[in-house]
Amino acid sequence: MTTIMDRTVPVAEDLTTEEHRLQVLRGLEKAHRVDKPYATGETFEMGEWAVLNADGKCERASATPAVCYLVFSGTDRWDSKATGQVTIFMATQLIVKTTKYDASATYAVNDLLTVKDLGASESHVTRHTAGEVAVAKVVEVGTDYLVYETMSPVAIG
Amino acid sequence: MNHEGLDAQTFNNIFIERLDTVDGLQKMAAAGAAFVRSKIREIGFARRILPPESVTRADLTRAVDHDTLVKIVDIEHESKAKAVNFASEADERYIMGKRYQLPFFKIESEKFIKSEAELMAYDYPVTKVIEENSVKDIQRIEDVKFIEYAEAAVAITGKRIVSAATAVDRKEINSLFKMIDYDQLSVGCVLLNSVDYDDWMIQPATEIGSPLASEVTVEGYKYQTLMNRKLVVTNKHDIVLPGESWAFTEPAYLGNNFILNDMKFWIKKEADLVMWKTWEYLALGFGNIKSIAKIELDVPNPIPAQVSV
Repeated sequence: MTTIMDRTVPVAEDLTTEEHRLQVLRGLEKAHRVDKPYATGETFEMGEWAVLNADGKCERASATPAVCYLVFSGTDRWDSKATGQVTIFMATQLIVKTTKYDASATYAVNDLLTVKDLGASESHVTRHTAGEVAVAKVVEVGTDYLVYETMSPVAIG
Repeated sequence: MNHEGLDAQTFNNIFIERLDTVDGLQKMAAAGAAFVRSKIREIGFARRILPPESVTRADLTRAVDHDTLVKIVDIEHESKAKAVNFASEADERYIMGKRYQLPFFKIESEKFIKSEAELMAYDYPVTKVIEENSVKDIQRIEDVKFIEYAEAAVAITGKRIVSAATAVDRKEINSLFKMIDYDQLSVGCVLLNSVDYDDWMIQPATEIGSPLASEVTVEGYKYQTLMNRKLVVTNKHDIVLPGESWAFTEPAYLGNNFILNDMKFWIKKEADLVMWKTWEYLALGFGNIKSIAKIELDVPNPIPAQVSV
């Protein structure tokens, strides 16, 4: 999992670029931004997805796709550390552009996406396979980014 | 610290005598600080490329990890317009500002100590001694840090060309500029080593035109710009190596250079010993690492049989 780089001189990143991890292109105005506590030891970045466990706390995805929620504000922020919560989108359809996806897969427009642990504790979207819970649909495939439309999580055969 | 109208020895005697009183000591410390400040502006290349901005404690923030001070500077965030149909609308943007922090550190000269008798033996003004022993040392460190951070920037952005060319010419400088221009930035300043500057002056008439070639042969290259960009030439060959040329944007697109409470000069006389030192608190950095480019030419050593002495 990558983390925010230290923005102290000498700066080691291009600060003039926009935030690549998650840009909400449509739907933010009426989005339901909800804070949920995260389970002990769990970490999230914006653009990743969180699964609610039996206690209602956010956990990273397991190898089996489940209903999950897009993270808008992760544990890499001080407010999250203070509240013990991350901000997720619930009951909201969005169009988002993100660099948080499984880059090893190939995508085409209209592909369904799911979220699962691919072996390295991933918790971001990857290509959906039959029977898995789908959470989004590809709208645009860019170089190093995906644009997708979120949808109500549902198992699709 | 003005010694006009006095010979060096008389000036030095007055200088030392004044240090015997508290009032004189204070006046000499203030004059020394002003002198050091004025001189340091003249000789460092870092300050000519990224002029310093004076800040006070009120402008700074305390670091949380230790008892130091930092200044946090905002970076302009990106935004885009879009051509859309009448019935449509552009994308949304949740603004997420970026900023970087510049930690302050101290650059301090050595503490110089000299007996008043020996100081009086100098044939040149004591101000010259201070300049040689304090000012140049401090501005040198500024230049070293400046290039160190610039090297770190080009290592990340890849704006570094290694060329087999053995002398700088318009083509090489053009390659340097293009690395900045490509990112929709504009080159504001070129930093050349004086050895490369010598090469620049012997470009043939077929390259730079007969009138300029003739003029440069007789009078040298007397312009303050190079291909319409500010030209800064340094003879610090150990900081900017022969063959290394740098391009930087205008300061507003480059970074920040903060000086806390301006430069300090301290002087004291204890019995027959005069002692002084100079220091400053500096925070220097490049917020936009894309604003720097470097070219490295294969320039041969100008002294063919150089030996270490």
